[in-house]
Amino acid sequence: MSTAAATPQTGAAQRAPRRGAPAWLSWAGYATVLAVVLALAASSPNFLVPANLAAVLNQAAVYAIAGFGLAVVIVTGGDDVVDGGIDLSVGAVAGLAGTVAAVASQAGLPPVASIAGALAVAAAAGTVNGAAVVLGLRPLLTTLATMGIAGSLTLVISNNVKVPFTGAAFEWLRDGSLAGLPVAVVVMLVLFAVVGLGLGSTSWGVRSYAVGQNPTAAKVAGINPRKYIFNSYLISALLAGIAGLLLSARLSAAVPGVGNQILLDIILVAFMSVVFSRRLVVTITGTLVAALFIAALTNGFTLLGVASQWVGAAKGVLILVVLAVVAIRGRSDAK
Amino acid sequence: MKKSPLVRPAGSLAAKSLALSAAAALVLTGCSLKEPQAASNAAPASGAAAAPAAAQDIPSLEGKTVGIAAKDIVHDFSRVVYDAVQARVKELGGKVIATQAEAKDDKHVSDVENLISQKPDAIVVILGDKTTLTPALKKVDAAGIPLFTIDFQSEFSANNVTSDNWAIGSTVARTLAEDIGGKGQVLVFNGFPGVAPCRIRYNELKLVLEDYPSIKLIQPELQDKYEGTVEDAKQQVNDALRRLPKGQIDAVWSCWDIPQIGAAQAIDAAGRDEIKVYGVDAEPGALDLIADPESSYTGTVAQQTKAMGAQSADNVALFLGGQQDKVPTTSYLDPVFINKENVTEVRSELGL
Repeated sequence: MSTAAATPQTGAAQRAPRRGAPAWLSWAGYATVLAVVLALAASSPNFLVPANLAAVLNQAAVYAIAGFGLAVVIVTGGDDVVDGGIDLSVGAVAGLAGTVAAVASQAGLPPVASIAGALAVAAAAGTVNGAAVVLGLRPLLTTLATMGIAGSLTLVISNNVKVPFTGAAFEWLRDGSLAGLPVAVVVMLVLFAVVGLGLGSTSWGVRSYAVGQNPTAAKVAGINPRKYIFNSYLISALLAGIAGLLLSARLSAAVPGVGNQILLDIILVAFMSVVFSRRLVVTITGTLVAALFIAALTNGFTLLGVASQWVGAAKGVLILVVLAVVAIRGRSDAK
Repeated sequence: MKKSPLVRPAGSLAAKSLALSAAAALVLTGCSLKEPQAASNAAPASGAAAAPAAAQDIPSLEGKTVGIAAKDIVHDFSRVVYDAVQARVKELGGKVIATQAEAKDDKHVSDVENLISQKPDAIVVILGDKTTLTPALKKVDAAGIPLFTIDFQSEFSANNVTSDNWAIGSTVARTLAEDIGGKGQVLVFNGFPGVAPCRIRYNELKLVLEDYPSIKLIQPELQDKYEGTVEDAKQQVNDALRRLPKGQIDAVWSCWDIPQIGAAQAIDAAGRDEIKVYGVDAEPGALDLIADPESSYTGTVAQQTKAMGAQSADNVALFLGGQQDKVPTTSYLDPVFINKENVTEVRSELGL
């Protein structure tokens, strides 16, 4: 009954019925976003003002970039919440990378070296994650452990105090603009293009999806799942590192414990991308839309004068919607 | 001097005059507790500052919108101030857009940015971190929106309402030094050097201890956290108790009560009754412990949270009503020192 909806989808969906979903559902996600945005625009004249839109994009950048990385992990590892790919260390690695850069620049290193050091530390965390998962450890527990390690290292090198993130280069990251957009937004769009095209249009992307959906079949087809899985954790950690640098720049300081604060929202945007996909899988475009949607929602609630406590409730409802969509997909899988 | 005759139960007071009488009672309570420093000159100043409702006519906020960006509502101080500002703005006929950042610096920055987009007539920021928030406050300034702060001094702020944190800091420090007999070792939580009230209170501690060379701060200093504070502090103090046997810790200091609740729990459970615990804010949990004669929790300081919120709203109204000359750079409200002897009394006075 659900096959009809899947037919227009890509030929890559060899088992089209499996990922099929009612046609209305495929667009429900976008329709909801559109409805909310229109409602916000109608009720507050300040919403669609360029300065406000730039602020929303800027607020979304950190979550979107880290979310891209997590999305790659979920795509490659499979989106089963318990056994699939997951990287719980993204928040902590972002916090660690930001702290490394701040401490390095305080120690007098030039910005480029500070940033390189931060990304190297992030890559190291990704290597540990990838190696452990490839060796057969459960991603959920592996990345929980590295999350603890990264969080702890952050406290060690920062002494649990905010480390100021000063210097012209970092101020440019915070307040500068390229082509009329805040720097963080430009970084987000560039990474969106790179990761999105990579996952959507290259053989690496197609194979990553294949590994995630059926590793055995992928192996039979001559793909080495381990390589793809390892790389996914490396990519995730690197993107988390970039997100952490932007977050520290935004806050003018590396804030200890910030990693735990951002983790849930990163997980939310990556998983929420499911509702923006016609095949109901995690996608990069969906992650971007989800991150923008969450930021717009928080911003819009403020514009409407809704107490910000309600944003938490709204996010909770969104998570439930995503889970409901996944459950519906599961039901159509069973048929 | 345990009971000042001037501190009477405020049973029959009407709501409007409550702030004034509470302020007066506070000053007097302060006197009765801290005679040497006492308040020969404090009374008139505080009377004026702490009695917004009774003071001159406050202009209406009719047709005005006031944005509020609170750092958090996780502890009693910020929760009460947050509610009090909103209540007073509405009472004056204004509209409120309230945000609170769940103690997250990132969200606090976003909240301020989002408020700027809304173009309110004024923005009130409750607490904040100087490093992380200042760029956002600069944007408020650039947008031409008058900024008001509570317990957060900023160069962009038209007015900051705060307790006299220097007085709080030095009095807590003096009391601590005297209580432990002028010598010993003090365990300190110093996790928020970027938060102005904490930095001031900590610096006052250092200043007072310059004259108590036999009192040492135990190194390394402990770092308190903004979230999960009580449990985390309890754990850290438990570790310290194991590391430093009886006689090596005489007091525990923190710039606020929340970690000290955990600290006192750990100390009380370990039976280390030689240790005294001092905090600030008069959190209900801390007051309960101070009221318990068996507890190591020795002292805290109450801030006039409701009056602070109302004062800030009044300052906004005066400022927007063209009476900018009546808005001082800083509005100070007098703190009230609370120890085991006056805790019950002050609680009933202030409704804590």
